[in-house]
Amino acid sequence: MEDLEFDKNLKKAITATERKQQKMFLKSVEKSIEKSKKTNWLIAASIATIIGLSSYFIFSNQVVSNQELYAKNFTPYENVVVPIVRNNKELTTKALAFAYYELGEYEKAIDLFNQLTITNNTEKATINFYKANANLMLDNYTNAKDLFLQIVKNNKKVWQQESIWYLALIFIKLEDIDNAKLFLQKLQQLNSYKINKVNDLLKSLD
Amino acid sequence: MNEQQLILRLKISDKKTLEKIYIDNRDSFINFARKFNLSDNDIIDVYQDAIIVLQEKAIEGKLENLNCTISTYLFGIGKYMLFEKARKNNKTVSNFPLENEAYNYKKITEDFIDEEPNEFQILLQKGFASLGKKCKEVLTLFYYRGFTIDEITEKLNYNNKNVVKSHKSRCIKQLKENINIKS
Repeated sequence: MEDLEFDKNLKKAITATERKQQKMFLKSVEKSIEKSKKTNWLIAASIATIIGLSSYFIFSNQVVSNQELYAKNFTPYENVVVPIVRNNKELTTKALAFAYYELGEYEKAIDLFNQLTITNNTEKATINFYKANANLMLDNYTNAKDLFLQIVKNNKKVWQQESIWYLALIFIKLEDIDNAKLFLQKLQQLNSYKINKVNDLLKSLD
Repeated sequence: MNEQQLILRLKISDKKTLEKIYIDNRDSFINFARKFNLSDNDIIDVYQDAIIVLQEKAIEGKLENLNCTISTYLFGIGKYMLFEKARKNNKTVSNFPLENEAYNYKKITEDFIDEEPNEFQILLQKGFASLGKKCKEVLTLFYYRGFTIDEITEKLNYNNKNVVKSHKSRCIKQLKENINIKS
């Protein structure tokens, strides 16, 4: 590979990485500005109507608690699939799909996952598992749920317990606590994957 | 802190300074951007991008002889980016009146606006993300901040520049291995 060409590409790749980090930092600054503006508004509102505000707090606390449980426990599954890339001219769609997944470009990752020709059930489960995770990151809970359910039903080898865990979280997010508990209890019986978190979550839901 | 001090701090990527400039100009930028008929999210998105471009221009040393205030320059960048965003959203806007501006904001922002990474760059980003902290630091100083090997030697307190050179080569080799490129 020509060094100059490689350097040019690397410069662009690192620039893109830096820009993403700066953007994340600025988003956090923006969030704190919005939060402080919201707080100021709440203080003003509390002077106007203390009773109304306290009922607002009671109501909003109830609404967010399951959402908070989801947010506290959800992280997308780390990519452990490393497809081989022979050289930069022979990039496989699969390698690129997982690269997009790792970089947080979930829409592009899903698009490429959909283009893959899958030859066996294990591979299908793996692709569906990451596709479901990508859907979760985009707040597409129904798509994610369907994909995880397919994995649990159709293959008994890989991504079973992990998918059950994510299904439980999705049901918490969708406020369907009965189903969430069912999946968590299933994991509790298996007594291995994320068992401490499973027990904690079950306690919180009771 | 005067403008020159702010520019110097931006040049060394000081986060506090970036935050201060962001907060100081935010509300007036949002008010200014209202006429573009964009959503609040779009306006904030453009504003953040404009701040990033501003910082990059400081790193490149382009702000050292600025003949206007930092705010005016930032608004110039932001205005061009708002035009582009509105154009992409199919809002009917006239062409950006470049001739009325002190700087060519189209040229200033083109590297930021036009560049969609190619597939190889995506893989490089992934390989870079899995490098160790030290490698990331050396490569970022060299490729993003534009430091010379001598400047990196001094900044990171290495004994001599040959150590930096070989460290940089090792990091690139590691990066290639991370994405399974057989060179």
